[in-house]
Amino acid sequence: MTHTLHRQGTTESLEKDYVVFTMPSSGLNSQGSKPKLEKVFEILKRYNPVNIGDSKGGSRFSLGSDEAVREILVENELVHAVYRSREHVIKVLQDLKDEDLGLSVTVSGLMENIHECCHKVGLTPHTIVMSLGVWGRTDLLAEEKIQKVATMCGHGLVSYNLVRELAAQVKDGRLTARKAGEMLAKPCICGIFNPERAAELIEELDS
Amino acid sequence: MFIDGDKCIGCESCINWCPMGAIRMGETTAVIDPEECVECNVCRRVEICPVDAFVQKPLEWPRSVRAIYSDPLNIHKETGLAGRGTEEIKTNDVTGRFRRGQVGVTIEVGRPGIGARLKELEKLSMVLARYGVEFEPKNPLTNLINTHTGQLPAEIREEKVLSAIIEITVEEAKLLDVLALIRETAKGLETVISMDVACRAAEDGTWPCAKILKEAGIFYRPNAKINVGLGKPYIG
Repeated sequence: MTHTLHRQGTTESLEKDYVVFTMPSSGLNSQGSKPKLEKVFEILKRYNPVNIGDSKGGSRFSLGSDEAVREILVENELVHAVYRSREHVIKVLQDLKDEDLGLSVTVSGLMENIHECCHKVGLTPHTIVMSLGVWGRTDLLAEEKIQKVATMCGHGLVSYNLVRELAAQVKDGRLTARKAGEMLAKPCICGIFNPERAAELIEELDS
Repeated sequence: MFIDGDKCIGCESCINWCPMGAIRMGETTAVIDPEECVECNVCRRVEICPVDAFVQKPLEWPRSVRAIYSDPLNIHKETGLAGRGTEEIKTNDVTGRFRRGQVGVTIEVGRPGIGARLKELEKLSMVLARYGVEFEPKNPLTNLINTHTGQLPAEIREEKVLSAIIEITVEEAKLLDVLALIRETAKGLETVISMDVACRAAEDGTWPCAKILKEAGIFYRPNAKINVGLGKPYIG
């Protein structure tokens, strides 16, 4: 699914939010893919991801550690990591290119920046998915500031009410924004939620 | 999902974790509204309950459809497929599913954060079936849709999910017609839809779908998802 698409925010905020993920194609190159995914995991870990996880097991924040994520890797799944800078994405892509695993790699983020990352590594972007936004009963949606946080879990597991509650706790000084970001990352089992960006957005909510 | 009233201490810790707002306080304990619960399993999985009061019994059809489209860790018992969608562009460099001249259109009903009864999705699938689109065969939902009529099995229409995805493929020349059809139908929905389009890069490296959208004045976000072409094409 399009779980890493549809993230909302200003260009300035999205500048610090990239999801890199790798997956084999079921039945085509998935057999024997586990060692490759373990290699991917090792590469993703090298460049200071702010979250990491897999689609069938959990994330740094849902399982409690990166090691726990690595231990439950299985064949035929997605391995994700979230980065805060283009420089880290470039390094990850360069290492994945050098490793030549043959698995598909996808990057979610600002289009122009992904193009730049690919160019620096000598990659030719293959296929794109573009978000056309939200249609229909948009009057039902939470306020935009809340959506910016919650949409970082594409499966919709981060509740609007939880964002509001934790933002209120941060405002009252009962919780740090950093801790709030980490708590919000917990329901997002794929590990694509960016807790540092969430902390920044919560501080903006507070201001 | 339900809460064991004998265990619950009424601390209210769980209430705001529910993405659907389906948990509320009863007289002394928290309770889950079964009509609004989408069986996403967040309440239990985050282990927020200090007394482990959440109880998940095996789900029977048709309620099981809620978990299929709400809990990403669930496997579709009826179809054998996992999750809400497919590999879509994520492996297009290996599969060649999206070819030049074609556009993939994904309509995620209920996203972000609102949820949907499946009858809302059916409003779209029926319109699209009448138009004659091609439903993606590997999408777990396609297994439930009558692809000639767009209808869903009657027993699942009232089931509520976090979101469910219709995936279709159209020729580039038909993209704007299809988007107009979806936009018009969306006006009659009781929920939201998150919309996206997918395409293969042209020979010159540009994105044909972006060009079509731009020329038609259709909004798209500056952030996207791009398969960077590291996968090796499958040649059988």
